Amino acid sequence: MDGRSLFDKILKIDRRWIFLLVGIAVVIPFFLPLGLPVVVTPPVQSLFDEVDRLPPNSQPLLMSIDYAPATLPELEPMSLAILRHAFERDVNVAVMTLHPAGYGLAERALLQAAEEYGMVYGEDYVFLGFQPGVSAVILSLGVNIRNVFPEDAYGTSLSQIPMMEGIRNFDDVPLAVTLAGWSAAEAWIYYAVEPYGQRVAAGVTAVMATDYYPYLGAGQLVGLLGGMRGAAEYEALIEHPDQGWRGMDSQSIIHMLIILLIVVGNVAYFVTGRKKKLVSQG
Amino acid sequence: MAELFWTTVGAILTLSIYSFLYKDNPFYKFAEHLVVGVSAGYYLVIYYWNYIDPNVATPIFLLRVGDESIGFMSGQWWMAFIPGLLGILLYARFFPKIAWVGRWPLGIYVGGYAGLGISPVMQARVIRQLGANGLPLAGVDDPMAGMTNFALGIVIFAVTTYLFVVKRSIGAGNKIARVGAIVLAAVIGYAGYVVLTLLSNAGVVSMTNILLVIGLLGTLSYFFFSMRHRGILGGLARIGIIFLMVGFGASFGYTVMSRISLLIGRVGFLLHDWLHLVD
Repeated sequence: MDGRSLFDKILKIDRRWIFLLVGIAVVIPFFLPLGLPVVVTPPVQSLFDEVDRLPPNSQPLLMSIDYAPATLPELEPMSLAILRHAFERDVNVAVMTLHPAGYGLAERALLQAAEEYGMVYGEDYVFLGFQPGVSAVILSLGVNIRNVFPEDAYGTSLSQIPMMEGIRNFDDVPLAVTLAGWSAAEAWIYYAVEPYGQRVAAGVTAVMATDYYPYLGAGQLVGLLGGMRGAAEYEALIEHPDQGWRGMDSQSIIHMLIILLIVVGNVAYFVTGRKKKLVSQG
Repeated sequence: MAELFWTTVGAILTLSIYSFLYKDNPFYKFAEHLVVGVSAGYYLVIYYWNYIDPNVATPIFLLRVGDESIGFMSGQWWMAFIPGLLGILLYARFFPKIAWVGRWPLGIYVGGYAGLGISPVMQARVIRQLGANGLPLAGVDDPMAGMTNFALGIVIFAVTTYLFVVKRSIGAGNKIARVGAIVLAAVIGYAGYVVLTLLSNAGVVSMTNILLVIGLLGTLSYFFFSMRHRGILGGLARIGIIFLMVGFGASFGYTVMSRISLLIGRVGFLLHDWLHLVD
């Protein structure tokens, strides 16, 4: 078998072999972790620094956990990492969601992190729940949080929650972080950053990340986490490796595999293309 | 026990969905239909209890929301009734004879959102972005300078190699001369990287900003169709194509990462949550 017929076979390979290769490449690092280094990029460092500067037991970090199960593997590690960072520093946290399917996921991440650090509900953290109407909700938060969330997710009036005492609107929220797998992150820029000058950081899926770099460059976002990689970097910064970190070995191997497949596919294409050209020329 | 049961159900459904990669089959069909049905049911309940009940049903019929009485008796019921009525009118499009009525709420909806959104969106996506491209081309603290200069060094190497080997045909028929030309191009590329680094460190130039401005002008030129892409405009448009390709490449890489993350998430669920094979 000469080289060209080999490339012919490569071009005609059943795609299910590639699926199998990808599957194996994902599974192996779970059993044999490579421990590849995770280098922290400036946008992630910037968000970490922002959370690190928040005063303990004072005005809350507002987290809008706006993702659904479809983007859970990318965004939940971010939620947990940021919550752990805040709780480790005794920063108060208020969590809300703008996604109808985000209620349970936001609550799950919040309660897990709070339990790990022994935080007390109402004093250290509060769960505001879900409110429909993305733009109207964000705009109203800038006027009065109680207009949108008169009660927390469990029906307790905000006036009875010690942590929310004196917290009226964005003036009392030093940083808002939105974790979104859809356009909610942009809505935060439109309706919180521009009208109110609120400091906002975003964690988005990797697919969305390139769309958000212009906002970061223009100073409209004070930090950005992009996909599982962003979560892994944040976990590296707080020295608490978890889901994001664990996934990066698989990510690295898969990317190498895909680069290899692209190179082999292109080489095969050009080699066999030249062959066909020669055949057609007689 | 209940947790194990539901985790097993989740695992079987996950495997059913992935079985499509082999070929379409009844397990995949079942899981797909289940996702659609459960999602529709879930969202219907969520939307009712979060949209319709607190914003329409409760204010109109139950008199109280939170601490305020805004029902029929308070005289403010119409604040919920009118938007609720407009919402119902949206469904008029299902009845051809009165379908036109559905345009009223749609007009109010579109008009309201346009009024709400035009100003902040213009500010965020146009004005602030224009301002962000008015960049100083020298003397700034540039965190991305190292990567930018390295990338430019590679570009210099690639261009020099192209000029030597393709345009000038150096080493045509002589492999040693060709390798020598490529090595020389690599040296020139490295020298370019060193010079750019020295200039950046001295604050003489900010290559990142220069690159960004060139990329912006090039990309805008590519999308300027009122003149033929010749001369300076043609050159800028070619540069624009390169930047667009780099942008698409970055998007592709991120998209791969995103899709693989979902697979990693499910594999983690199967191996960790279900089978407990890994920590």
